[in-house]
Amino acid sequence: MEVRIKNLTKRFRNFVAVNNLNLSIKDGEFVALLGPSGCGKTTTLLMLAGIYKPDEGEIIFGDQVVNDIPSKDRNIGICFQNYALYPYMTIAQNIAFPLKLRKIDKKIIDNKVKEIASSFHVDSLLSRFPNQISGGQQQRVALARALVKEPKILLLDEPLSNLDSRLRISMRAEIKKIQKDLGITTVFVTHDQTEALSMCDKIAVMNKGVLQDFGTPEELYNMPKNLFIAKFIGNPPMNFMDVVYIRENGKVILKEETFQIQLPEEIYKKFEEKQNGKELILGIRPENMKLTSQEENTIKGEIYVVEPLGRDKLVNVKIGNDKIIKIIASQDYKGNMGDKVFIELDLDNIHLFDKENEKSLRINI
Amino acid sequence: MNNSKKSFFVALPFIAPFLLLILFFYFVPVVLTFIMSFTDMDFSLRWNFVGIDNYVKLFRDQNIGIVFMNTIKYVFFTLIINVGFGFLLAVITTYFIKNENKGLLFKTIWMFPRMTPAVIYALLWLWFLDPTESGMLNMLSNKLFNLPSQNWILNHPMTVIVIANGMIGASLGMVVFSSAIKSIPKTYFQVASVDGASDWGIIRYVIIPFLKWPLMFMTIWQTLSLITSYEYILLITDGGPLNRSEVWSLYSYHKAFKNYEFGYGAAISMVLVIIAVIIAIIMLKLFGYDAMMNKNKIKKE
Repeated sequence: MEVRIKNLTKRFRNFVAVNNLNLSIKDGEFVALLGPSGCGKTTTLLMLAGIYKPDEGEIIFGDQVVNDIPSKDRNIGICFQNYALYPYMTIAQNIAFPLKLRKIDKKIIDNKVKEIASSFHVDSLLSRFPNQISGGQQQRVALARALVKEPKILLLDEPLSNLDSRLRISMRAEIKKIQKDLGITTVFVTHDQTEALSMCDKIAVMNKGVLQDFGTPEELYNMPKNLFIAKFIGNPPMNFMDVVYIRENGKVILKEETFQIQLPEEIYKKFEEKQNGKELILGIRPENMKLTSQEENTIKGEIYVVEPLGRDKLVNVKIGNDKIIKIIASQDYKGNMGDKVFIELDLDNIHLFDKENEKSLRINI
Repeated sequence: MNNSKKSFFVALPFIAPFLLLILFFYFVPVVLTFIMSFTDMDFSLRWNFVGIDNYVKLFRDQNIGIVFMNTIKYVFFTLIINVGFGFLLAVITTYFIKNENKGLLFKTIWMFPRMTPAVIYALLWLWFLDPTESGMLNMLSNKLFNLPSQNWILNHPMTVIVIANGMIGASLGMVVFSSAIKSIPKTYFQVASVDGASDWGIIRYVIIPFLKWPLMFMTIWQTLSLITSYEYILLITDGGPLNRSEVWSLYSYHKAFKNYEFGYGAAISMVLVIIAVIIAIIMLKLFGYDAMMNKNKIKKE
C-alpha cells in the first residue's frame, strides 16, 4: 500500500520530536528511517502505527487519511527491537494472537500458523515458550507474528539491534528477501547506516526531527545534500578538511594551512561559484584517495598508523599538526608508521560544503 | 566451620534485633496461646490444666456456626474488593489515565484511609452511617432517593464491615498492581494494539497474564491478613447486632477479654494459628523463597 506523510509534526510538551515531515512511499517499497537516537525516527514509526497521534499533518494509507483510525484497524504489522513476545504464551499462541483477536475459526488459525511458521523455519518450536528459544529464533517468531495477518504495511523498529553481529548480517539478507517476496510496503527504523544501505530501496535521513534527505542509498552515498548526511553515511566515515576557496585568473584553488589543491574546470563547474576567500569544508571518502609519491596537487602527510582490515588496509595519515585522514589502501600496501606520504584526491568524488549552513555546494542535486 | 555457617554468624548481628522482636512478639505468644488453650484460665489468671476441654467446648458452641459463616463471608467479599477493586483502580490509574500526575493524585486519594489511624477511620464510618436524620448516608439517601432514615449498622452489619475493610485493603492492591503494570515494557501494549487488541483485549491478554504472580500473591496475603484482623469490626459494629458480624478472630477476642475466658479464647485463636501456618506453607511452596525475593517476573528478552 502507498503511504504518504504530509507536514507531519509531533510535539512532546515543548520538545518538537518530528518537525514538518513529508515522505511519499510507493507500494512495495522498503524504506529506512535513519538517524541518531532522538532524531524522531521511532516517533514517526509509532505515528504510522497509530500509537502516537500527530499534532499536525496527515498520514495517508492508499487514499485514506488514517490520523483518527486506531492502531487495531490500520492493518499493519509491527516488530520491535525487544521482539515483545508474550512470555506466557507458546510460540504457536504468540503467532496466532493477531488472528485470535479477529475471531477467526480455530482450524484456519492453526493452518495459517503452521504455514507461516514453516516459511520462517520455526515450525519445530511451536510448543516452546519464548525464553526457551534463541534470539534469532525470537526475531523470526516476532516477524511471523507481525506478518501472519497479512498486513498491508510492515513496521520494523530496530529489529536487528539485539542480535549478535553474525546473526545480524544473515538476518539482514533474510528480511530483505522476505520483504521482496511478499512485496509488502515496509518502514524500517534504524540508527545503523550499514543496515539502511544494505537493505532498503530508499532511505530517509533524519536529524533533530527534521528530514535531511530522502533518496536511494546510492544518491545519499554519492551526493550527500549536507554535512550531516555526509558524516552519517559511510563506513569508515568521510574525511573532512576546513579549506578556503580561492579564485584567481580563472583558476579555483582549495587552500588549507598545509596544502593547496587546484580544481580543474570540469570539476569546479559542478559546484556553485563562491566569493574569493570563502570558508568551505572539503569532504572526501577514504576510498577516493590514493597514496603516491607525486608532489604536485597532493596533500603531504605522515603515516600515523595502519589498520589492516583483511580485504584492504585503512591508513591513517597525519597532516599538519593534529589532523588525521583515513585512506583505504590495497592489501599489499607497504607503508610504515612515520613514513612521509602524499595523498592524491580523486577530484571527481570530492564534496564541498558551505561552512555556515552546512549545505552541499553541488549544483543540480 | 563451613561457609554457610560462617555467613550466618556474620549476618547474625544485623538480623538479631528483628529476630528477637519476632521471637518475643510472635513466637512466644503463639507458644503461650497453645499452652493456655489447655487451661480454663479466667480473670484469676491461674494456669489450671483441663486437657482438651476447650476444644470440645468449641465444637459444641452454638455460636460457632454463625461465626464461621460470617468469617467466610467477610473474607470472601472483602477479598473481592481488596484484589478485584484494587486491580481495577490500578488499571484505571496506570493504564487508562496516561498522565502520571493525575494517576498519582487518584492513587493518593485512595491511600488516605490507610494513612488514617484505625480509630479515626472507624469513627468516620460511624458518623457517616449515623442512624439519625443527620447521618451523612441518611441525608444522601433522603435527598437523592427520598428514602426514610435507617440504622445502617443494625440492618446491614456485614455489608458495612466488608465495605469499610475493602476501602482500606484496596489501596494496597492498587499500589502493588500499579507498579507491576508499570514494569511491563511498553512495547507489549503497542504490539498488542497493533495486532488488533482493544482496551479490554489488552487487559485480558497482556495485563492479567503479566500480573498473574502479584494477583496470586495479593490474594493469599490478604486472605491471611483478613482472617486475623478484627480492629475495624470491633470499632464499628463490635460483632453485633447479635453476633451478625462476629468473625472468628473477634470471637476469640470477645471470649478472652470480655468474658475473661482466656483459656477458651486461646483455643479459638489456635484454629487461626493452624490456618495461618497452612497458608504460609502454601505460599512458600507456590512462590518459593527465591521467587518472592526476586520480584521481577517479567522476562524482557
